[in-house]
Amino acid sequence: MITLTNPKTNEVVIDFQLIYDADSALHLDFYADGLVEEAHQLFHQYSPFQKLNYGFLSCSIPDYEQYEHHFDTSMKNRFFLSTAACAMVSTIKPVHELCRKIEKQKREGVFKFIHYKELYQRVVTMMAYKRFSDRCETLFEKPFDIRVPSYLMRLLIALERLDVHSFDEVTNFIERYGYLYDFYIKESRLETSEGVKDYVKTIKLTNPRSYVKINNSKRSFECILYKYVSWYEEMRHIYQLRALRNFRYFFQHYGLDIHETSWKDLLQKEEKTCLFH
Amino acid sequence: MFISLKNAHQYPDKVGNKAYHTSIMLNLQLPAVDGFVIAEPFSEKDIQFIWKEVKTTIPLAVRSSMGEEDTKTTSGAGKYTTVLSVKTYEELKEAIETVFSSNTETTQKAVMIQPMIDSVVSGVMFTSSPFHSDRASVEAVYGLGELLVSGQITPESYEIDKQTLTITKELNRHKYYGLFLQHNPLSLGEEKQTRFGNVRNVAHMNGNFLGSIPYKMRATFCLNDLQVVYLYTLGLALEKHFGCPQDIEWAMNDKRIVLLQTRPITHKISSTLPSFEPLSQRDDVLNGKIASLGVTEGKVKIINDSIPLEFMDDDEEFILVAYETKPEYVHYMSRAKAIVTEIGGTLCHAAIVSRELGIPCLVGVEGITSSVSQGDHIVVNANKGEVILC
Repeated sequence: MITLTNPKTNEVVIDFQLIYDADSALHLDFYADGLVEEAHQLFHQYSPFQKLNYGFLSCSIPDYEQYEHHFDTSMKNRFFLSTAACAMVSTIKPVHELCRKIEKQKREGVFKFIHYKELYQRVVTMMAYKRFSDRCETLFEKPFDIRVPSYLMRLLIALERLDVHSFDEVTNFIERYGYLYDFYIKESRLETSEGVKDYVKTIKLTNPRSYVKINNSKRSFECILYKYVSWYEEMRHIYQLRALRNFRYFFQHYGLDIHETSWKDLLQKEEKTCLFH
Repeated sequence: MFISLKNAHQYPDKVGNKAYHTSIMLNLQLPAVDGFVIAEPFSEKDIQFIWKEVKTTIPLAVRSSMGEEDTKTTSGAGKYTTVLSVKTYEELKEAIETVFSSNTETTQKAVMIQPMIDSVVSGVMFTSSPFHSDRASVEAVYGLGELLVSGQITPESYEIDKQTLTITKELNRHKYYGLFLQHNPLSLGEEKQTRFGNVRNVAHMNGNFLGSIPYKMRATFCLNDLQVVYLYTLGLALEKHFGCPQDIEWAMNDKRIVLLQTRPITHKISSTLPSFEPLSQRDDVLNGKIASLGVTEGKVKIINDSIPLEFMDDDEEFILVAYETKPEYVHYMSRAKAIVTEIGGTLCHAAIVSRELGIPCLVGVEGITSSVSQGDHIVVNANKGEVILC
């Protein structure tokens, strides 16, 4: 995480717009609100970070240093690590469930803001563990015998199995995997049937396979922790993008700008105009 | 003594080339920025008079206009100090002193004082591209041009075919930040409106601010084709007047394009770039943009803010590797066998200095600073845009 320190104002600033090549304010809000939520999820305490704009946080230097020190110390505690890792992996399922519900409603033409509000909160809880996961990755040496299915592999396998001449198969592919193509909120090239067909022509499918494998004889603490972290990282990526795709549908339904609408804008619109009721 | 910039062309031996060129631009009715030039000897009364005249146009830019700068053979690019965002009389006095004292070598010293342009986009134009004499090249960034000319940001590039005015351009989607003028104090996270979008304040920097660029601006070209052609026509007028290709700094605020300075291009222009076949995807080869042609090999010296500059003070020949180039590195660049930077464009100071010195230079070589260590042996083949790790 890149921070900018300003000794004059005694502040640390984190601008996710400088860090990620994201094309939407909402996506940057996922990261920013996730970081604000981190303190609550991991340590049951108030966050030292204050959100000033979409994807933009600040924190006083002493508070930041104290918080980082506390974080570093906690990372040496095995009980903390195992508890946090379990909590981390359990944040994925709620996002998955709500995504399915919202997608079902979308097919029926229903877009209820209350569900999107809940989805946002669940995504933020999921994102709260991002730095914990990053730190685990740097803290422990990667065990070579652990393999976790990558989102990219899922995409490639799905492409490999896809019969591009079947309308239903292509539609299902777009719904389930199309949003994984890139990191943007805008419709990806794999979210149109022409795009999928063109893409299949250009790629060389090399019979990719992925699997989860754990060597039980070496099932150490670090090994299990690393498996959790790897799985979370892949799933977080998938559900981050899936939630983003669902928000795109919501934005488009209400005629909002998919790139510039931030979470604050959505809340204000709901409060002032009751647009989403 | 002090003179208004418009009249400075009458005193070419006193005001320095930069002020002289700016005066010529003003008298050619080109969109340049008027102001004053102050030359030695001068008194505090002179500064007071200038302040009275310019205080309504603050913030001001105080730039050098020294004797050996901007000649046909030497650009002196980045050699002397520039002070931006001067807002009070005291700051003006200090800025003039700072710029004068940055020149300890020549006797002819002058300083230009101009209103700052609230640049939304700015950049550099070479009326003859460094590598293709039949093309002109333009590089542009969002915000002020300081980060571009000092090589701290990778710009967007445009090439204009002089015969057909066809424009070849390359969108740089990684223009995450820029340096912006701060007219009114902005708090952290607050946004400044520009006609391209809202830029937000991430850090205060000497009266300016570092702004993070939103996606829509990153995904848009800084200049449209009409603006590129307009810039080229301004450049042509200057080339015609001075009788040689020009290296021009320009800026665009929310209303118009203005020319900030012009100087002769100081290097020999190649008629064409040598053709080459890239060395495929080899692990030991890094690729970058060619800023100055040539092939050399030698030991690496990495320079950055954490390595004291005294470290460089030995006589051994070296290839200078830096993430970015800064004005304070110019002295070391002049001693290097070659220059390789991780970011920067082909019209930044590192590129200009290396072409002047006739040493190979590659910019935008991603990963170079993490791929080599102090003392490593590398080959810089700037004819092919490659750094070969030995």
